[in-house]
Amino acid sequence: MTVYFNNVYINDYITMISSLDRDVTVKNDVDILVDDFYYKSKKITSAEAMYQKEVVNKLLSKNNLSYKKIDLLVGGDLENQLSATNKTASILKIPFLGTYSACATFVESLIIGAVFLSSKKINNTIVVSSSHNLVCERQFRYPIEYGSKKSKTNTFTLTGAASSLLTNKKSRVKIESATIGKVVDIGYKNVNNIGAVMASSCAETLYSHFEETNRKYNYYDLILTGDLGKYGINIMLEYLNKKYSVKLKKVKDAGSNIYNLKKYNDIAGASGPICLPIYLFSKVLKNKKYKKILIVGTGSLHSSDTSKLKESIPSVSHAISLEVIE
Amino acid sequence: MKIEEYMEIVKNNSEKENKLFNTFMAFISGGVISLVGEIIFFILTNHFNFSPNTGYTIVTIIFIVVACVLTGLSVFDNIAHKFKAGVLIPITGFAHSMSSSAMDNNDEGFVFGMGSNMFKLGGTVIIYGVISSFIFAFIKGVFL
Repeated sequence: MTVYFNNVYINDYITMISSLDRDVTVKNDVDILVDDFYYKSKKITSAEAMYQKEVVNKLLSKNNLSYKKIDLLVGGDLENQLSATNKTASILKIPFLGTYSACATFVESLIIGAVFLSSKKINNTIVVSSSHNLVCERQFRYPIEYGSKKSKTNTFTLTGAASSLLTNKKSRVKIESATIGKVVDIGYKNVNNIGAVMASSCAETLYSHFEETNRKYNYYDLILTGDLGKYGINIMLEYLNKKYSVKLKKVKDAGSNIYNLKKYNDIAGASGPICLPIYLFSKVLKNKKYKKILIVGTGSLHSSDTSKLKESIPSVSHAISLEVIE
Repeated sequence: MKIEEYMEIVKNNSEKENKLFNTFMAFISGGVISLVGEIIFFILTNHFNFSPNTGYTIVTIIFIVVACVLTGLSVFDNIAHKFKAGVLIPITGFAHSMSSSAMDNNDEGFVFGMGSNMFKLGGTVIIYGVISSFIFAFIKGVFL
């Protein structure tokens, strides 16, 4: 399902990352770099809300806006029942819609904000998302300090947050269209290989996007996926080739490029809903050669119980077409 | 696409875990821990003249304390990643699982947080250890 938008622009964005455990390649390009899992809090669960509050407040102050002038806040995170984003929304006092599609949350929130703006029901919106490594480990895997066996296909959840301001006012980055993905459950069960879980839905969404927009496969200067990881990206390309005979080029994965995988060869990449916005805002948009960009957020829709119950894991991917206007 | 075909694609695009290396590291690390235990036991019984039973108890206590302290200092999980499962099989692993679970749920209070979650990972060992002891004792007592 592809929707086209009228006059929706990304006016500004703030990225924040904590690089405590591992070195990130974007450390000189993000707006806020910290080294603290407990950022301004006593508990890690409140720290994630503090990350979100920081990026939204900086976005507001940078654009001389107060929270009263913002019509809508859309966002989500990986914590149970969106606890972190709910807490942020209660502090910020902006009308709030919470979204969840795991690591595709930021892209889903951008789509929802863009639909409201395009139909002129609101004047502006702020989209926010975050993730915290320790909170995810504790919720989905084992206790934080437990030395469980990590396989090579495991990804390392980023700690940080990202926010962006969307309005109808013309700016450098335009949101041109979006393809809302269908949930794909191919029967795959290994929760330690998230890249393989998400590759199928990423491929299906990409195929739907090109079919519905009737664009050629070399239309975009860059296709940026969220966090498929170094194995997932190859699985996705082979799936597309085998099922639809499509050979996609100029594809990059944000998660595989945030950590230097030659240095950290024990993981498949970074993961979390903020992989895509951090890489997009810090690296891709600063590169002038990318004028037409397709971002695909990928999400693995498993709960903490899915792997224990030995059920297959569904996944979803959403795509947004961006145009950079100089 | 059928799941079998998808599994084929996943298999083509993944690296194999080095099971031989992991097994070797587990063998060495488990062996080293046991050797250290034997050396301490020898010192306790020969130089300090403890009885064998007291010696075993003291060695066990030393392992548990060391494992818990290293877990608290956030060092034990790095050791486990490097030296594989050999450090998790002896009593050190059980103490590590209990202390890491307790640390995790510290925020939720003593009763419903730390107390009820401490045996989250280690509870299995106790339950099935007791059940299997019962079964083997029954077999030994009745049939042998």
